[in-house]
Amino acid sequence: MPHLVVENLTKEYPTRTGPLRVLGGVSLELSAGQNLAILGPSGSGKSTLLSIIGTLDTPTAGSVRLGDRNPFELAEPDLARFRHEQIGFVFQEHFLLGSCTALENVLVPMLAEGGRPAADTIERAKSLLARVGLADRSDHRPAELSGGERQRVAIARALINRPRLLLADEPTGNLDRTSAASIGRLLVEIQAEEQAMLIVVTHSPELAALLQQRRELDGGQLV
Amino acid sequence: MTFWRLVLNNLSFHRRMHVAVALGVAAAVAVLTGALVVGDSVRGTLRDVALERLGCYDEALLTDRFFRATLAQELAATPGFEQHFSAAVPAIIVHGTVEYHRPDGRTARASGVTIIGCNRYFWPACRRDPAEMVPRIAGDQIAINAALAGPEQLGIDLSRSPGAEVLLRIGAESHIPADSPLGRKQGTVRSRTLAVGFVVPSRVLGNFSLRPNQQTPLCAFVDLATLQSLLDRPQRANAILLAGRVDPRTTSQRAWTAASESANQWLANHLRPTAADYGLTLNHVVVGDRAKPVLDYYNLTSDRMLLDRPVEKLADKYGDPVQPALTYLANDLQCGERHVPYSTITAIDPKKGFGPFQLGDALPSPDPSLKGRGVKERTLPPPASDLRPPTSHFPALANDEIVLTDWAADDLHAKPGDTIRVTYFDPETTHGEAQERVANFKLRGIVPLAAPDKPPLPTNDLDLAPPLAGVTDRKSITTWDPPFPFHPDRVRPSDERYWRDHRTTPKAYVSLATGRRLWGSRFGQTTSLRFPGVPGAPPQSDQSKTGALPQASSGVLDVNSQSRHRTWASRSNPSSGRHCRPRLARRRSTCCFCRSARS
Repeated sequence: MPHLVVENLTKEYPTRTGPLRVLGGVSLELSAGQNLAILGPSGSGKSTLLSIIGTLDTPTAGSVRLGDRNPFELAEPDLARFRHEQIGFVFQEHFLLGSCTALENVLVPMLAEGGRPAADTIERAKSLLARVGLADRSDHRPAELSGGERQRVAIARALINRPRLLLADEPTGNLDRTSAASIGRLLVEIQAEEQAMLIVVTHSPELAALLQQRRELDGGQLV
Repeated sequence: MTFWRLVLNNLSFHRRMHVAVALGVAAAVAVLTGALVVGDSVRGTLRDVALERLGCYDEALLTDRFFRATLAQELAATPGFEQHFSAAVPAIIVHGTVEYHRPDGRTARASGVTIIGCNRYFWPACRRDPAEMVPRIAGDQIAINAALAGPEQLGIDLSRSPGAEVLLRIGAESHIPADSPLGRKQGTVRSRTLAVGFVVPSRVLGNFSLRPNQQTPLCAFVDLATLQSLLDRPQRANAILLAGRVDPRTTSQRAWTAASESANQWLANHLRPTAADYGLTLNHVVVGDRAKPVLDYYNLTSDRMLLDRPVEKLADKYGDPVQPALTYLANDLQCGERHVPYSTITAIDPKKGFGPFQLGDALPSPDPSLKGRGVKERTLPPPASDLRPPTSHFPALANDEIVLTDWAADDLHAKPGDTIRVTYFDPETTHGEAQERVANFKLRGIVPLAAPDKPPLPTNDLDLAPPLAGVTDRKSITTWDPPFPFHPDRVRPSDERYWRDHRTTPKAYVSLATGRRLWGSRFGQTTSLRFPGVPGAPPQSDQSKTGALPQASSGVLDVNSQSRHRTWASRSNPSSGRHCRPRLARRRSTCCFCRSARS
């Protein structure tokens, strides 16, 4: 049974000349351990689709079910908690806190639960950093890391909560070809290890080739 | 790591930026706070200064004309007054010059002095402590404030020069603006020597001023009656000062504002000046026999000669029944080589019930056989009662047309179609000098003017011309003392005869639009508004009659109780042997006919 079911997702933005339809009935399914690459030209609605699946935006019509829950039926505090527990994000920009070390950045999502992170959480953070190849750089601040290393820290941060769904929006967009391939492989490997679902929005055919499924968003429809 | 640790980390990491932002915020706060403190201080100081100058007076009515001083008493006697005010004081507030011949022989002169003519209630109204002494000015005294007495101005020290005398000079404005050629420009300064009674300290209204000015005002206080006498405005004032019930010094701004608004509303509803306060006069004019008058109307005029715009709007409000008129002085009427000097000319649109003439068949052309002969030798026009009654609205003259009375037409040897050249003064002077202008008209027709010993006609209406001091009050033209350039050598014996027989009766008429274009000005464009009278009503004022008048019934306009009743002795009247000249008829008490009629 699929863990992520997206049905007839429609998104329209109001404009002075009438509603602008960005997504027109997008449907997809994904089970644990599966991954999907969504390709498409700029403005095709890739990021919009990812934002809706990630509950950062709401659809005009259609539904999203993650597990047995429709997140858009939740109140805002519950939705935030749901997002915090179930979904991890990796963006094109790393959005790391410059005042914190790599380890502290990985632990930042846990601050939402209040208090000091538990020892096992800190251990998981360290192991994630080790998994992304930064075990000896955990005390370094973002300014002391390279672009690829920062994105690795961002991946570790996205996984600290053991999310069921990992969403990556152009995760290699700011990296050189070598670093991009490395980050892409790392992302897929960790996703497989964590048995999470992964959806990657990208322009890069090389990155898309690393994923199990590839769909193209064209005219608001997944093809 | 905890949340607060994260916050501290962040603060520490971005400390330079935070310090810069904090310094910027501190600087902005310092600047804004300083500005607010200084602004509040300035505002408070100005407020204190203003309140000290106003004393207890919260409301002031200050006008550019003089009204009855008793209006203040009437206002104070109005029910509800005491809820809002504690006193209403009439005053005259004008500006003038004060001169003082110092003991050392030098003359000190202070100009721009606010002269306040006030009665004995002016100071007690603001007295907070009943035991407090207040100034009391005698009729031959003047009180000055410390700023005016100071060494920079007059330099009066009453301890060294008790009873020092100053010369007070005030410009007494005439009713008619000086920028009008009919307004006086010279000889308007009044002066009087007064003894300085005391120097008024600022805490007892010494710096009284209605103007929010940072400079200390120069004030001089004179007994109201003395100032009325000096300005030749007996029983008149140009200001009413109202002392409020709420002291702004001890009351919150909000409460004071609410009280002030309430008081203002009350004032708006209860201050009831009469027409006389506006300088307006409404006369009931009856020309001819009372039983069958030739003219019977109410004439609204202003002591400023020209009616103010709001009054003019009465004509618009009441529309068709009202006949506006603008009468002006023509320095010369000319046709060919012949001239008639100094004539009144009226811009008016003929109207049923008012006349003064009707265009069309009713305008008789002069009999060619009478050309060059005196008007007295002409066949008399039909009696007023036999005039063809108007049937509708009379047509108005075209812009380039003029109508002459037969007196003027005969004098000019003019006939319909001739060009009449009218010379007049520009309605506004340039640098105080009257400029002559010329307008040419085509003579549309000639209307009859009855001789003084004949039954009057609608053209025998000298009320079309407003009074002008130095002109209309003179027995002969050569004794005129007008405010404009005047050449008595142009006046002929026939003109003097006309003046004796007809006074200011117009000799010519043009359309109202043309007259307003030529003689209208920023001071106004109407000299009188004529409202229809009630047929058969006696000339005296009563409610049944005034009901027909616009606003008369509301009390705003009070019909002159001594209604103007003017007539000529008629052939059917047994007293026809006693000739009553128009100039006498204006003075009803000396009018032989009126006297006999009353008896």
